[in-house]
Amino acid sequence: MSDVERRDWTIWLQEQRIIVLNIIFSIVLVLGFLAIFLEAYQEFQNQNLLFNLVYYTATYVGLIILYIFRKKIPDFWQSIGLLILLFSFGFLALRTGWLSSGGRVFLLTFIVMCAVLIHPRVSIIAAGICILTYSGYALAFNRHWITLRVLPDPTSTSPVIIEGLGFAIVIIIVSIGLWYFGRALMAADQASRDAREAQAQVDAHAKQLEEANAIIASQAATNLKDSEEKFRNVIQGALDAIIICDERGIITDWNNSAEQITGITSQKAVGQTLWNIQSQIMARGARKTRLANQLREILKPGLATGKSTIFSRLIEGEIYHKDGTRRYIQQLAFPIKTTKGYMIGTVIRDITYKKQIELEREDMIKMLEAKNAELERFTYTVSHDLKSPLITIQGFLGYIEKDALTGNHKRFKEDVQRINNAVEKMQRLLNELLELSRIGRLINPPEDYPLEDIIQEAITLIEGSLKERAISIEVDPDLPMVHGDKTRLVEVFQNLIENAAKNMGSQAHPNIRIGTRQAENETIFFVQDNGIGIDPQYHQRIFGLFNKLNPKSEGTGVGLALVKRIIEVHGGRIWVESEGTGKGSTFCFTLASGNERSEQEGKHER
Amino acid sequence: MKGEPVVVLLVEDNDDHAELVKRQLIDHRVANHLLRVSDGQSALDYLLNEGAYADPATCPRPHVILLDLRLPGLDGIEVLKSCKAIESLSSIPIVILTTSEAERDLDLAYQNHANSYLVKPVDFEKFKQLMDDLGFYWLSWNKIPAVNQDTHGE
Repeated sequence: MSDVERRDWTIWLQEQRIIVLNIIFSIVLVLGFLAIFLEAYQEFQNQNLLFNLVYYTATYVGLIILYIFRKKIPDFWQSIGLLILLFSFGFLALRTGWLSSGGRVFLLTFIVMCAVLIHPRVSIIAAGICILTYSGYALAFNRHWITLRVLPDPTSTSPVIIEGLGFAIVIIIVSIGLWYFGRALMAADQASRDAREAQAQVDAHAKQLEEANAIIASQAATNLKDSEEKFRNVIQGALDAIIICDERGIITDWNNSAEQITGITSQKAVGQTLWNIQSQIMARGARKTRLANQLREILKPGLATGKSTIFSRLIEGEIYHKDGTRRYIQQLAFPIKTTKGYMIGTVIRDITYKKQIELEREDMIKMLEAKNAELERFTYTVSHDLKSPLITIQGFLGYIEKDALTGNHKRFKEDVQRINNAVEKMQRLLNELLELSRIGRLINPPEDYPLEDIIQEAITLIEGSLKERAISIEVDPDLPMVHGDKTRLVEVFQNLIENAAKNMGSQAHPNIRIGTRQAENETIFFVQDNGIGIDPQYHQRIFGLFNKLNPKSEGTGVGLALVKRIIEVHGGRIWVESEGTGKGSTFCFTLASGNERSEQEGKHER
Repeated sequence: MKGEPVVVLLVEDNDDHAELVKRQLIDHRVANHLLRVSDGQSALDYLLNEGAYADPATCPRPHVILLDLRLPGLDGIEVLKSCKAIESLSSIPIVILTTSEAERDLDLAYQNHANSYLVKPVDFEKFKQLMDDLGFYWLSWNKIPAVNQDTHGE
C-alpha cells in the first residue's frame, strides 16, 4: 500500500470516523444484550439464574463506565480495571461452566469492546487472557481437577479440545483484525486531532499575522507619508530648479526655484510635457516648435529605456525668463527607474550672476590686455623719443668743448642753441606725457553742455596763435548739447584747432570750420581745414603717440594721441577724412550715445 | 674706386642728429659726400630720382644708406622694405641707425634684410667711435658691386 493510498484511506476513515464508531458500538451493544439474553435463557432452563445475569450486566456496565471515563482515567488504571473484570469472569467460568453459547458471544463482544473502546492493543491482550483462561479451564476439566455443573453440549461430537482450538482461532483472527482496524482508526483519530490542532494553530497564527500586518500597514502608511513629505520639502526648498516628469514625459513636479528661474508657475507647468516646457524656455517663435519636436525625439527613447545621449551630461546655455530677460543656466537630466518604466528628472541651475561676473572678468582681461599693449607701445615710444634729445645734448656738449678750444664762436653759439632746444623739447615731451597719462580718468563727472560754449572756450585759449597766422574760424549755428567732461572736451577742440592751424602749409586763406552732421543714430562732430591734407595711407598713424607727418611742423606728436584718448574715454571714435595732400582735412569724432553713455557713466561712478 | 666720391645717404628726421653724424663723418674724411633727407618718402624719391631729386648729377646713387627707423610719414621699416623690393636698389647696403633698442624693431629690420643694425649711443665718445668704425667698415673695408649707371633710377 503506497503512502498516498493509505493516506487517502485514512482520510476517508477520519471523515467517516463517527459513523463507523457508532455502527461498531451499536453492533457490540446489540451482541452484548443478545449474550445476556442467551445466558439468562440458559440459566433459566437450569434454574440457576440470578448470579450469572447480575454478573454479566455488572461487567457490561463496568465496560461502559470505563469507556465514558476513558479520557479521564489513566491507561494504567484502565488496564487494572480490565484485568479485574477478566479475572472475575474467569472465576465465574470456573464456577458456572464455560462453554455456554452465551459465554462465547460475551467473550467476543468483550474483546471487541476492549479494542474499540480502550485501545486496539488491548484486544490482543484480552484475546490472550481469554485463551489462557479457557485452556486452563479445559486442562483442569480433563484431569478432573474440577467438576462442571453445566456439562459441555452433549450433542456435540467433537472433543472439547478441538472445539476450544476453533474458538481460539476465531478469537485470534477477530482480535488481529480489530487490532489492525483499530490502529488505523486511532491514526485517523490522531490525524484528525492533529489537523484540528494544526488548524487552530494556523488560525491563531493567521490572526496574529493579520494583526501584525495591520500594524505594519498603518506604520508603513505613516512612514510613507512622512518620507513623501520630506521629499517634497527638500525638492520645494532646493536652490536649483528641480523638475520631474512621469513615464509619459508629463511634468509632475515643478519646484519654487523652477518658478523663479523660468517665470512659469507650477500650475502652468505641471501637466505639460517636458519637451514643450523645455522648448518654451529655450527658444522663441517658430524655432520653439521645431525644438519641441527634436527634444521629444531625444527624450522618448529615454523614457522607454532609461538611456539617452542627454542624460547625465552637464549642458550650459541661455534660457528666456517669462519676463523676457535671458538667463544663463546649467542643466542636467537623468532617468529615474520605476516599476512602469523611466521617469526623467532634470535640475536647472541659474548661473546668470556667475556668468555675468565671468563676462565682466573677460572684459576686464581684454581691457587690461589692451592697456598693457598700449603701455608697451607707450614705453617704447617714450624711451625712443626721450633718448633722442639726450643724444643731441651729449653730442653737442662734446662739440662745445672743441668749439671753445678752437675759438669757433659762431658754431659755439649754434651748438649751445641746439642743446637748449633739445632740453626744451624734452621738457615739453615730459609735460605732455604727464598730461596724457592723466586722461585715463575724467576730471569731472560727465554732464550736458552746449557744444557752442565748449568750442568758444577752446577758441579763446588759442586765439593768439590763430590771429598771428590770420586763420579765420567758422562755427556752424544751432549746435547740439554734448554729454561729457567739459574740460576734456575743450581740450579736444583746442588740439584739433591747433593741429589744423599748424598744418595750413602755404594756404593763402587759411580757414577752419567747426560743426556737426547727423549720421545713423549718432552725431558726428568735425573740425575741417583747408590746409595741406593727409595722404590716406597715414590716416591711422597720425593718432599714434609722437607720430608726426611733417618733420618741420611744430609740436611733439602728442596732440592727436591725446585727443584720441579723450574721445575713447568718452566712448566715441575718431578718424580723419582727407582726399590727400593739398586737399585739406576733416577730423571727425563721435561721443557715446544712448546706452553706451549710461554705461560710461556707470563706469565713472565706480 | 680711387677719386670717385664716396656717397652716403643719411635718412634722418632729427636735424641735430643729422648734424652730429655729418660732422663726425666729414671731419674724419671717411665720406666726402654726405646727402641727407629727413623723411621716408624723400628717401625713396631720392633713390629713384623722382620729384625734387630728379637730377642724377646732384643726387648720385649712394654707396651706403644710413636709415633711421622712426620717420615722419613713411617710416624706416617701410623704406627698407621698398628698397629691398626694388631690384636696382636691393644691393645698396642699408645700415639702420636708430635710438631704438626694442627687439621688435631689431627683428623687423633683419627680417626685411637690413644689412646692419646700430643703436645711437647716448655717450658722445661712444657716438664718435661708432661713427668712425661705421665709416671705416662700410666705406673702406666693405666691398660693394659696381653699378651699371643705366639701371640706376629705373
